[in-house]
Amino acid sequence: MSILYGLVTFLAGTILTVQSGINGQLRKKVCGNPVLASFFSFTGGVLVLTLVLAVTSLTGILPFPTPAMLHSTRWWMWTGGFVGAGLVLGSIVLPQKIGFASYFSMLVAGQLVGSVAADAMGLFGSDVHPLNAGRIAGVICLLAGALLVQKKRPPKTTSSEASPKAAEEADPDNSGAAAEPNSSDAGLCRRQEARP
Amino acid sequence: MNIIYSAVSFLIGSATTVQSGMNGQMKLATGNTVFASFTNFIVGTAALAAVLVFVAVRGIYRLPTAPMLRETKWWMWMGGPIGVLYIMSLVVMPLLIGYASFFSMLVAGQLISSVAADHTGWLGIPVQRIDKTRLLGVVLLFAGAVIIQHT
Repeated sequence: MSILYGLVTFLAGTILTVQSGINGQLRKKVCGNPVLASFFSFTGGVLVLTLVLAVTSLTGILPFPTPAMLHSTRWWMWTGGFVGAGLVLGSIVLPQKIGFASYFSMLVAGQLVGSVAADAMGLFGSDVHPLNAGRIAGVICLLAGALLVQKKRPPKTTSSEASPKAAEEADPDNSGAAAEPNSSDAGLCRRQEARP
Repeated sequence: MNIIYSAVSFLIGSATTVQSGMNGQMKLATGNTVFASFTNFIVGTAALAAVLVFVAVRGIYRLPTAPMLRETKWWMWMGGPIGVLYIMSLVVMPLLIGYASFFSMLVAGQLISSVAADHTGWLGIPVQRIDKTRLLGVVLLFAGAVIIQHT
């Protein structure tokens, strides 16, 4: 049975790569706007979670928090979503620049080095796990591994990688529209301008 | 330039540690995992809406027209919903197999899928074939993850 759980966990690990690929494709359809693609991604997540929250609350599987519980929360407990937004935005923009493996290897290294640091300081009420030889060796392996994955490979810039600013400067009609927000199609991109 | 992109990727990874700590505290305070994920997504959506207004008004990125949106495929909208599956797995699976096994398998899934995506050029990414350097890097990353979970 635990082989099955392990397999499911492995698949969960592939979700971030798949999500990044899917959102990247959506981005291409929305004028190359990564913020809009992230926004749509989060909106989809909110819809699904609203449904799950409604079902679990109404069936009593997970009771909805009482007002007293909500009052006991601190302001910073509500700010995790900012990081989540940055993660999804980064997962759209950065793999296009350096590739999936370079991106996710740095992400994994950052996650685990961050959690070793958090454990060492006992952040967020976790038990303190002081640095020891094993953990330091683990961190060295992570950093060395992540750097090896980044190594070499010539930068592959295609026309689709041109920065939006440059594209706009090359298109005087559009920069005029952007400077005039009251115009009905201000800031809209025409279909033929959609990046391939 | 690539060094900066890689460094930003590392920083995002460290920030997710902080995020998971915040979400964990929210879960403790409310006793409701789904609620903690829900607030996380609501706040993220609101933050992105604010950034979206900013970049659209400043003309940094442009917005699509309605016909362009209709050209999208259904699966392009599944990024968020499968993200919810990921978040749920973070809560459920460690209880079933323990944190050490959980993180090892999760990291293995992340690394192998991303190397495979590069190798095949999946979804329009430039192809980067697997080579010995890259393979060694992935093995070291996995070893590091396993060592940390077991010490």
